[in-house]
Order: sequence, then C-alpha cells, then structure tokens
Amino acid sequence: MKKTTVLGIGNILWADEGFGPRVVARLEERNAVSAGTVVGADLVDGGTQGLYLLPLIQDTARLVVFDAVDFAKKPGEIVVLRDEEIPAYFGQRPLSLHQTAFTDVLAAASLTNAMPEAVTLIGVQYGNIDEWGGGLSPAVAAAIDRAIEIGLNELESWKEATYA
Amino acid sequence: MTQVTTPNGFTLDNSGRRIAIDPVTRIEGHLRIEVNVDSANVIRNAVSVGTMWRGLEPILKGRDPRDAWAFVQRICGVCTGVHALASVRAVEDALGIKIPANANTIRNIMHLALYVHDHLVHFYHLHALDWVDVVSALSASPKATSDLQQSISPWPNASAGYFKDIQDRVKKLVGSGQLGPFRNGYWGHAAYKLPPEANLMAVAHYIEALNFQREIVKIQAVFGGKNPHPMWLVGGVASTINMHGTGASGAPINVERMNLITDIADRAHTFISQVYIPDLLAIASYYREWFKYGDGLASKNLLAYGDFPSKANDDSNSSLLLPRGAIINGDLTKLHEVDLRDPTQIQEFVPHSWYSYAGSNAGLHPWDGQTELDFKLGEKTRKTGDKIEAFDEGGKYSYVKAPRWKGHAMETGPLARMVIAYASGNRRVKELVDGTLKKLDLPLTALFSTLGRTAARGLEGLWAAEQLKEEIANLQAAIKSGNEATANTEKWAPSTWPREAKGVGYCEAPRGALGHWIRIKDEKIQNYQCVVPTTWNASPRDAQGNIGAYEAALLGVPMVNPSKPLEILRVIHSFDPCLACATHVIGPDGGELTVAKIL
Repeated sequence: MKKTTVLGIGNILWADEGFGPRVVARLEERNAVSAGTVVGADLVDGGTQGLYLLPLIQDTARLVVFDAVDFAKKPGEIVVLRDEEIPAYFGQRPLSLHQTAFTDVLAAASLTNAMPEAVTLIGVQYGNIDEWGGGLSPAVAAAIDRAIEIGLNELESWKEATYA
Repeated sequence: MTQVTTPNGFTLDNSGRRIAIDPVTRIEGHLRIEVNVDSANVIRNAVSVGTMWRGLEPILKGRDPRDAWAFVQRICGVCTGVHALASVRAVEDALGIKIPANANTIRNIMHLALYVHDHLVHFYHLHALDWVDVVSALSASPKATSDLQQSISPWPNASAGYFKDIQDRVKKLVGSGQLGPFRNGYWGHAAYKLPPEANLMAVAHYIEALNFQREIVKIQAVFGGKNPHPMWLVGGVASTINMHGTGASGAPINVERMNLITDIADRAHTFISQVYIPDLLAIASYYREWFKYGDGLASKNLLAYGDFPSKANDDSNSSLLLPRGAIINGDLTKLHEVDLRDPTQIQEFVPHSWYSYAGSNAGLHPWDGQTELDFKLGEKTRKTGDKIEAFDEGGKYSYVKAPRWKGHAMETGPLARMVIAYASGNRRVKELVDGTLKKLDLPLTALFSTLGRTAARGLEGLWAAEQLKEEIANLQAAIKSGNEATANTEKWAPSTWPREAKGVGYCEAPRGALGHWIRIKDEKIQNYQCVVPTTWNASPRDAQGNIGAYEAALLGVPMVNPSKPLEILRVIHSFDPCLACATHVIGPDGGELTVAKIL
C-alpha cells in the first residue's frame, strides 16, 4: 500500500533555503516529545536530491511538501498550493542535472504514471537565501510552527477523505 | 582583446555577437555561459561563470573532524556520497586511521552503485534530450520502432504494442497543447537528427530509466542505513554484518540483504548493457560530427586522482582499479604521477575569481587555501541598471577558482579516467574503448569530443556495473571466511590524536576528480578546502590567460540558431556539471527556466 509522506526539501547550508528540512526536524522533535504528533506518515528530509526523490514520490499516495518559495510576498508568509496548482513540468533544459526543481520530480512522477493522489505544497516566502552557513532568518523561523499546523490539518483532512 | 592566442594554444576572438545563457531564477544561478559567435554563428570565445558562492569551508572551521562528512554531504544533493567519502578519507589520512578490508569493499560497492546510478540518470534525464526530440517521437511507427529495438538489443520491452502504449502515454501528457512535462524544450530544432522511431525508442528508455533508478538506490540504503543521506563513518562504515547470529534478521547486512543487492547489481548490469549502451551507439551513429566538436582540453591535458582501492588503505596505482595520473599535451605514452600532497602540483589561482589571497596572487595548495570573498567586476562589464548583461573576462568573473596541475589547466571526468586507464594498460577498459570505436568505425582521437565524453561515461557505467558485481562477490567471500569487521574505532577518541595533523581525501566522483584537504588542530578543524570536479572543468582563466575545459570545448562549435543554444547544452552537458545545489524555489510561474539572450 502506498504511504503518506511529509517531505521537507532545501539546502540546510543556505539560510532560508533550509526551511523544508528544518520543518521536518521540528516535527521529529515534536514526535519525540509528544508521541503521535504525526501518525501514519513518513517524515523525510529530502535535502536537495532532485530527481533522486522520485522513488519516494512514486511510493506515496498522499504527500505534504514543505519548501521555501518565491511568490514576492513578505518573508515568512505562507503559501499553500494543492494538486494541479503545483506546476509539474521539466524546467527548460537546465545546464546541470543539479538544477532540477521539485516541479521536475512531479513531472517525472506523472510520466511514470505514479503521481500521488493528493499533493499539498506548504511554502514559506524566503527572506535571505544568500548566506552560506546561515540559519533561518527570524521571520521564516517564526513561520515553522504555523506551517506545521497547516500540514497537520492537511493530514487530518486526508484521514477523513476516502481514497480509491 | 579582439583576437588573442592563449598560452595553452587556443585562439579567442570576442568581436562577434555575444550570447549569454543563464538559468533564470530569483535566486542567483549557478553556472552561466557566455559566448561570442562569428558571422557564421561559430563560437569564437567562451566564458564560464560560476555565479554562486559555495562558502562551505568557513562553515567547517572549528568543528569536530568526525562530523565533517555530514556537513559536506549537503553541498550537493546529487553528490552526497562522494563528498562524504572524500571527507572521511581526509580525516583518516590526517589521523593515520586504517580501515578494515570489509569497510573498503563496502565503500567501493556504494561508490560503484553511485556511478551506475549517476551515469544512467545523467544520460537519460539530462543529456539524452539534447539529442532526442520528444515531439518527433509522437509521429513514429510503433512497429518500425519495435523492429529497430530488436535489431540493436535483446532487451525484452520491444513489442510494437509496448511502444504504442508509450507513445499514447506521452501523447496524452503533451496533448493539451502545453506539452505537459515537456513544455520547455527546443523540440523541432534543426539540430535534431534522429528518425522518429529512434526518438520513440529513446523516450521509452527515458521512462524505463526513471523507474529503474529506484532499484539502484537501495544499495545505498542497505549499507548507509538510510537514503536520502546515507550514514558514513570515520574509521570504516556504519553498517554491521550479522549473517547468522542472534539478531541477524535486523542487522544492516544479513543474508536477505546480500541477496537483494546481488539481484539489483545483476539487473543494473543488464539494463546498462542492453539499454544504455545500445542507445548510446544508436544515437552516436546519427550525430557523427559531434565526435569532432567539443574537444577543448580533452586531447591535451587530462587528470584523474584514481579510485576504488582493491586493497584497503593502499592508494597506489597497483591497488586502484581506476588509476591516478595526468596526461599532458596528449602524450598517451606517458602517465605523469600525481601527488595530492605536493604543494607545487595542485594549486588554485584567483586573478579571475571573486576571491583574494592575502598579499599575493600566487597559486595556493589547498592545505594553505583561503576562501576570502572579493567581488569586483571588470571595467568592460556590460550592465543595465543593476543587472549584468555580459561579464568582462578580462577582470574577475566567477566564484569558481582556477585550479591548475603544475600550471596546466586540466579536464577531469569519465573521459579522463577512461583514457588514463587505457594509457596505463587496463585490459577491460581497453577492450571497452577499442570495441566501441570499432563498432562506430572511429579512431581513438574521436574520444576527444562531446560524444567521446558521453560515450566514455556510458562505457564507464558498464565497467562500474561489472565491477559492482565483483565487489559484492568479494564481500560475500570475505564474510564467508568469517571476517565481519566493518569499522576501526581505535582512534575514535580525540585524546588519541596528535595536536596537529593534516590529511587529504581523494575521490573520483562520477563527474571527476574530487579532493578534500583538512588541517586539524587541538581536536578541531583548522582549515578545510574542497576542490570539486566542476572547479577543474568550469575553471575561469588564470593569470597567464590559460582557459579551462568548458571554455576550450565550446570553441569552434557551430550553432544553427543562437537564440536556441542546443549545441552549447550538448557540449556543457557532456561534462555533467555540478555547482552547489538548491532545490530551486518554486514561484508563481513554476520552476527554474534557462534562457538564452543575444546581446
């Protein structure tokens, strides 16, 4: 049976780019303190693995993704996109395989007939992504718990929904 | 400059139209290429710009050297394993730690599995679409595609019905008029030459390779405990062997898991020999002119640090399955010795890079390397407001330093490794290279080209799959003989370390020679420098004006349409570039786009 997965993506060495993995780390802490914060879902720090995350997506029926995004909002503002609202196509011929975006991974999932039934992207508008070795900027760090609540609600709503 | 000749023998002319290719993203890009073309659209000058600072070294200062691998594996999502491997080797070298034979074999297995995985993914998911027109595949005859498939390989997915299904699936995805996942491409470009049936066959294998890669990563997960981001360990590997004892069923390495990885390795070998290699030959036969374009440094200077020690703790060429060495001025009869410790051999220069060295412009050996930012633009930089339209290669123009071996700009990567192994008399590599050239009716010099680089990567993938099976058998044999040791923890405690130490960790990453240089003082990292493969290949100019591998390889390449720079992508992709990775932030208009701008 396919899984429910909570995936954080981004580069933790690169300030706000590390938002996704840091959300996953916070969820793991919360799970440790209060067992059962997230039940029945795998927590995965996807780093910057690009296309190498495809197997994980192919095995997933319901997917929550935490990531830094750029929607020209104020740093720390949260954007939620669901299913078709998330772009799924290969970027225009990047110079390097290492420039694959999450949209490429979704495109690959659709090409292999393995798109999850439900995908929710919880994005936070980044402030600073230029500082190597820097942690999250204050506005983005403050968004972690709000983002987690949205994610938990999403998981809860899926429990109630019936999937084929 | 209008026309100059570089000391390493290339003629540059920047008087023609300038074209810039840059991944357009709100975060700064990673690699930008600018070229000047003449009136016939032939490239006469090329400028390789690393546009993002990879300031990892300062992050590591003051940390516990046993933790360094966990930081460096986040440099790049695709290259996690290679940085971790180079890092643990650097620390072991500095502290004189000897690893058990099983740890060496397991590292070889993980690393070979990465070669197979990386080469496969690179070919099908980055490079193939430089040669394969997805839209043309829609007009192929499934029956004729089936005939073509059966004429080149015994691979079982070859029926007309299978190709019809694939064609229908792609049609459905692109049918909306938006081309779905393939909306961004140069489809229909005049430089595409494959018949529709070859395109359909390749698209089918593109999808099969996407599905197959899920198998091969399981090897990393078995030995590294998890994937993504497997675990590494200074002194050995983080997996214990327990074949038959109490608790064997839960041990990382047991009978069931050995059977699993043996099966995966067999299937990987079959996929490469029956799908990847025949596709490579089929595509190459339609693009023979690309065995001429894209040589650059390949026919001159090649460098490999070597890898895959057959004996633990022995990195001499008698132990390394892929040898270390340098070829200079194309003389394949002489393999120069490469010493990563010699301060006069590998040096990095920064006159054209956005760094400064305290008080001098001389080259620094990585043990003495410095990473001080100094962002300055040359006076001929073309700007519109704050936006840079064209860099001035006469000044500083890249975050990539210029590494040199004894003063020479070098190419590194699968082509360098295969040629160096060939020159050193490696029998299997000679068979693979000679056999392939014979099939294509090409001379050895054809290797020094865009498709030569691409072919070398495929042959190395096959070599790695064969070797992977052998190393798994070696591990089986060692375990059978009762040897289950996988880590040496004698010098785990910092109290056992010298007050000061320095070491170097080498690794042949799939895309080329990787070195990590470490200095340890009072149990902490005092200095840490990585020289990554793409630093060699994407190198900017040095003080003498020698150009690096990308810049050299682009010279003389003719373009059909400079606003759709497919030819530049072919050349650059043949190197499998990596600069630091991010997941590429999603915005309202989707992911990252690459655009070409004619200035």
